[in-house]
Amino acid sequence: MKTLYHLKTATCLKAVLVASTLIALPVSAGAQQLDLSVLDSQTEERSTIRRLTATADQLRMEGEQAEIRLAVYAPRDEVLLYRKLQVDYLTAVSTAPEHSSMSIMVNGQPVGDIELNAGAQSSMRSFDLPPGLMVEGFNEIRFIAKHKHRVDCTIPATYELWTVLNPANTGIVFDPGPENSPKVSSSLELLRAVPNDESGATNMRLLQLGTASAGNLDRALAVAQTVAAFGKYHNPDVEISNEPGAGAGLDIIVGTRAELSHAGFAIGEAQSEIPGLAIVHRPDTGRVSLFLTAENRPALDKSIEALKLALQSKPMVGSRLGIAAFENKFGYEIEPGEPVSLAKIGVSSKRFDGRLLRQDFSIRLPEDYFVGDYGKAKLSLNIDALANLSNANRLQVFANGAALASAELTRDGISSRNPLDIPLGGFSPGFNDLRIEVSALTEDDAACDVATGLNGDRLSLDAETSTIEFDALARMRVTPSLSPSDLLPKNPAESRPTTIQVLSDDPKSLEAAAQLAVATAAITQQVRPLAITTASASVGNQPGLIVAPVNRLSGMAREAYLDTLDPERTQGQRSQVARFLGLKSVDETDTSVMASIQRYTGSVWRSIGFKLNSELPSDRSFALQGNSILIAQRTKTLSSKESWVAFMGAPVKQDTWTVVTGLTSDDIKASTETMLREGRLAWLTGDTSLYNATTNRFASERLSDPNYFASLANPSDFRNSRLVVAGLVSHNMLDFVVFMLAFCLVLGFSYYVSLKRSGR
Amino acid sequence: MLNLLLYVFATIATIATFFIVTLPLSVEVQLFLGLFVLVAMQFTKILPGTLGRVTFLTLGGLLVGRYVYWRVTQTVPPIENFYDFVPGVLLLVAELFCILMFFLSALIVSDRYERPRKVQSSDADAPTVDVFIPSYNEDPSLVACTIAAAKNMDYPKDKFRVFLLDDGATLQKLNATDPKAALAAYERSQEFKQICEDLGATYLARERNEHAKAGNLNYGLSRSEGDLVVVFDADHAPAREFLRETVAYFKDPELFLVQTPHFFLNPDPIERNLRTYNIMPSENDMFYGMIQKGLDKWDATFFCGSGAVLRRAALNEVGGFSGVSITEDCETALELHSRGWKSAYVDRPMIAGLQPDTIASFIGQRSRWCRGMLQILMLKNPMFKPGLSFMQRVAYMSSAMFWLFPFPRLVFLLAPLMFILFNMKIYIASPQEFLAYTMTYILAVVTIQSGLYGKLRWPWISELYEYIQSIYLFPAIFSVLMNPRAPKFNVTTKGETLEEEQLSVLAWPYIIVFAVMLFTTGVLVWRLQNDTGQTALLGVVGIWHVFNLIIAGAALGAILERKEVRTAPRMRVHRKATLQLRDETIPVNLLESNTNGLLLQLEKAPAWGNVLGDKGHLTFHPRQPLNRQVEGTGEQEEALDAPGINIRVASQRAGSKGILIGAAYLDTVAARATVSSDVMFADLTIPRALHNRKLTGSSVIAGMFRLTRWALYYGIRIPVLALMSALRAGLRRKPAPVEQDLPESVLSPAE
Repeated sequence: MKTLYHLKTATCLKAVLVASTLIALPVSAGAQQLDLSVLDSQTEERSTIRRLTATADQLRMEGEQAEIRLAVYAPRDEVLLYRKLQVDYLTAVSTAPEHSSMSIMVNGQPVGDIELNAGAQSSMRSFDLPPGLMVEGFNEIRFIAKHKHRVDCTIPATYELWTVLNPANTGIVFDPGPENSPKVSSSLELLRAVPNDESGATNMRLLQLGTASAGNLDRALAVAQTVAAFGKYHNPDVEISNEPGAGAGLDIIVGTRAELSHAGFAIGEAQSEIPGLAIVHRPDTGRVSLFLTAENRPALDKSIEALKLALQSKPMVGSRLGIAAFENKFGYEIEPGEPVSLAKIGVSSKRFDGRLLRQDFSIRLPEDYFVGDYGKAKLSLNIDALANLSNANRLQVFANGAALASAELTRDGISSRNPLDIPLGGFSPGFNDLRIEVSALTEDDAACDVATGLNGDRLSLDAETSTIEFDALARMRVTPSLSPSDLLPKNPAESRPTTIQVLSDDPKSLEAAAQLAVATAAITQQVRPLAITTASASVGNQPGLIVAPVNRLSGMAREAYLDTLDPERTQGQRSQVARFLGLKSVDETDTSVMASIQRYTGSVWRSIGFKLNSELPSDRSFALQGNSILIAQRTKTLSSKESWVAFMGAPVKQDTWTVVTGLTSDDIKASTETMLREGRLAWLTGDTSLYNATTNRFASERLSDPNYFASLANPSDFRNSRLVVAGLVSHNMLDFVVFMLAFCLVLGFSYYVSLKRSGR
Repeated sequence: MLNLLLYVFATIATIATFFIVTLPLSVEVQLFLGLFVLVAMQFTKILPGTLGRVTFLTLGGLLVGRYVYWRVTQTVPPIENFYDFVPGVLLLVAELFCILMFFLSALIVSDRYERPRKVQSSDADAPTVDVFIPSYNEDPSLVACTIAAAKNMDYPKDKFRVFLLDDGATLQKLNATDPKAALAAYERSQEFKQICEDLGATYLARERNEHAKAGNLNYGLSRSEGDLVVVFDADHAPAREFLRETVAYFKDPELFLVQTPHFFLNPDPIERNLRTYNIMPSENDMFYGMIQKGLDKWDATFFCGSGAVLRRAALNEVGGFSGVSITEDCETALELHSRGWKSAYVDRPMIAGLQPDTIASFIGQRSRWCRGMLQILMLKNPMFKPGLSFMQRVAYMSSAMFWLFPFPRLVFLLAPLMFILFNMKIYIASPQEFLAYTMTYILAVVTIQSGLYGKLRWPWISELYEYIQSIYLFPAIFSVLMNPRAPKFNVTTKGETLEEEQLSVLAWPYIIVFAVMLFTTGVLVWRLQNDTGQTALLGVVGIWHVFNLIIAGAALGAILERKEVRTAPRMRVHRKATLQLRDETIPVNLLESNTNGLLLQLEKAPAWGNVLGDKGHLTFHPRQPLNRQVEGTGEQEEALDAPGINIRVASQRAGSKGILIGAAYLDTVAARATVSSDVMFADLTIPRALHNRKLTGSSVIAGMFRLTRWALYYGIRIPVLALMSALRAGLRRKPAPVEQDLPESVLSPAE
């Protein structure tokens, strides 16, 4: 393994300094050593590669037919150099090579096909890119993989089929030219082209300038958030160091002139539109260094704000498909009440000749979307059956990994005349992953003649006429809540930044905290002011984001953790009634007759199609194990008056603690990285989630009573209030039923008295 | 002020309920809400009194209201799917109509008025009364019995007169161009004049048959002068107590009407053909046992054409009985209510009448009611008629709109067929929504029907009656809607006989509908096996269709006319008499009676043996006096004189308590009528008691089993019978039933 570029000496910058700005870099750090045991990095000499903005997990194509659409930003001075698209892949051994292939398209034009062969000697292929195919700005690169199993005709066998692209070696290959010296650029668009490292993560190094104030780290973090939001870098690999990085990635150096000078950086006069900003680009590695400096700290803060505004106002350029791919990176922005065609969301019309059609796409709901079953999303699919399907085929819809709705498939397929209702409660605020699975078994599959079973298309999906439409969404902020937009709790004093509390001797937790902050900024497209505070013994007494090993937690943060170990936490009297009715899950270990009855009742509801409980046990343990992290949010208890005031939309200050903890700092750091790499941050729900990095699964629950804040919605908006009430009811079903019965008695009595006083 | 506050509170609570039921709650919440409310309804159902009933209805109303909102907002097919949309909207309208009727009837019957009894004990201040018995083509012996019973009423003889208003022998009829018809009219007039003379009634016949019954009654008004007017249909014989129990209410000077329930001695054809008369409440029990009482609370009891007392002054104010529609009774009441007059309902059956005997007559009668009420709806819409109170408008609208039921009934029949046969999606809902909304709604409605009308109407019987009528009433509705002024009055035939069991002349449409539904069931089974993508939906629709199939199958039992050789129904009586036969006088107990004769039980063994065909004389012992205090004296009313009649022994057999003799009357029609009226109708205590014994509830499940049993039995038997009948007819080249066999209304509903 070797890096593409080594920054040699500070003298390389001299010419640049003369021409424009400011700074000389100290001696670079050594090349970053990435160990990808499966995906070996193989690059050609004298060329460089612009990798795709995705990790290996995000470049994984599963099932019989899968598709990935990615937006690649081509800077102006690179786009004319692009000549080849290089693809490095690994495919499952179960895949039948004669029936498996991958097609690659750039901006809608096919550029090549690969026969997917697990046993091939070389897994790396490159394709010529016709001149002019790629344009400055965003370009779409699409991979369509088709797999067939060698021997197995069953549906489960389709899950064994996959192809993964090696993020290290997949991308646009070009010759950066003989000039390797860093170039100073005034183009802010370059911040959309920060190259990924070999793992697909966006390395961001926040430079801690010697003994300078920790406040500068806050500012560097703010800049990192701003850049992440601008380039949608949702998988940041944040490092905090006193030296710039060497490989692909981004260095963020923020400080006063004096501080930068003291740290060894030469200062010049900037010619950027942002005072004190300089962007240095190294052609060979693509690494970008962002310098932001000012005379003093208030001026520095102004420059950060100016950068933020400037980036927000930058228009998007590129091909139509490329821009669409970038815009839809965190899901298509859903407008309630308006049907959206799946084609618009990014789904392609296709003919499918396999047994299980899987189609992934993502949508984006408002950040203040109030989760609850008060409405539905209507999925109208037009999928025609092209073969003589058997009677056992189904359509299933998953959102964020959970099965939400299903329907039987007719012999003719599925028509948009029969839309499938998906309960709203299964969606999260913000980004949502959706998956549609349609089985397409024929009678021939029973015999499993692989050769004959592949002779024709079975399904045809028309993405243009297939739509998804959401009912009106309630807008109401709920605390505590673990959606990405609420992960960083707001400071009750609105003008003050959110504090990130870490231990002074725990840099890994600090990096994990920064990583979470930057990732949430990318996903939510919001930059939250942050202030990092450190403590020596334990953390957690103050509200904010607390990231520390479990044995170093204190105060409310520790209570939040201890809460999760209390099995009685979710079992009240009403809960017993709910359990009896099969509305709550039963502990898997409980073998009593009553538990069996409850389990059976629950399964009956599910078999009818009602989602009254999850199939997972509700009193699952949140006890931490290695390679897992617990993320929990708790709030200060509001008085009943405060709750009502908040519900009505008036401002109420409430302290919020978000705790991210693990057994060790290593667990925290590693699990956080895995969670981000797997794109699982948006799957957080409830107020407590345990993420197991080994299994890549969440266990989520709401363990504390929620508070409702109408601050984001207008309480006088009847429509919204109605939806909010419906949402509240959906969370308190039994209470509502009891209320309604009592209400009917009162109503009946009022009618009775009125009747008796009327007529004869 | 307190009232106002109460109304405001109830209104606000209702609005809050509306807000709640329109909340977009999840299907799971809706399901559990529905189930819990249904459970609560079972508890409140057994609570006595109005409070319990209102609470019960409120709970049910919650589910119904919730269903309505969901149904309207979520389940209508998109207009883009035009061929689904149109039938979808029709189905929705049909459902909404039923739900509207549900709320209206719930409002009306939720607090029924139990009117205190008032008896006209004093003779001195008793108002003068004219009793009108309008007749058109009824059998003279039937009419004579009614006249005799009317004459036999307990009332000062100088204060009431009985008029036979004979529309069958008007000058127009006597001068008919058809000599046979003219001769028949003449003979009829002579016979009726003789009967009236014998019985002491006044015979009146007008010149022309204008405005049907209303015109006939108005002619009677013009030829009489009593303070009050009583109307009895020709087959409605009153009990002796009738006037005493009704006229006292007219001390209220604003009262224009006292209506009493109609009580029938024979089963209607559906009861007879399904053999339910002796065990099941009759169809009209609900109307007279509950709805009229509910209407009375809101001063909206209306005139039902017979068994009612009306104030002449009020009738004069509106120019007599109204004749714009062919239901002059309801129309007249509507006119008078709109002028501020009041009405009363006395829940005491005091007239005994006859039901139509054949399905054809039954349908003809209902067709007239249906068309007449729709005429009122269209020509004198109660909603916009000035002078009525809000609740009177609601009551009249409810009564008139009820007759639109054939529309929803047929739509409900066809809707599942649309899906099963043509895959038309006219009701957009998932199986879960069906369970959460539709099923709980249906259960709520069934529970309400059972809780509210349980003792007066067994489960699913309304559906059966409505289906049977709908097939023929639907075209009648259509004709009225096309031309509201066209319908003409037709008289329902009574006292028909059937010499052998046979299919009704109206049977074929029912058989064809059943056959189509059977075919659809086959398609349903096929689709369930082959169209797996819609198994759940097919299952739900299939249940609906099978329910319809069961109704249609059970209806086939109703169209098989049972043998009926008696022209007059029998009644159990309890009276003593003395039989003189072959010079022997034997005390006897009267067990049964009809207008033609009696069944006697001899109290001691006679000396004679077989007396079949012998003639004798029967002397009746005085009947029990009415339970009425003579005002001022504190003494009981005196027992009346005992009449007697010559008889012929028509049957003789041994009974468990002695010899039973079937005696046929021999004297004149008037004499026979006098005896019959006295023996049968003077005191209706026994038939009332027998009838009340039937007023027991039946469970929903038992009702469904009963219906299924009928459907299975008749669903096989009737089509086979029909097929054999058709084959026989084909072999014999027998012509189809001639038009004269069919009721007038069926032939030309809009004549």
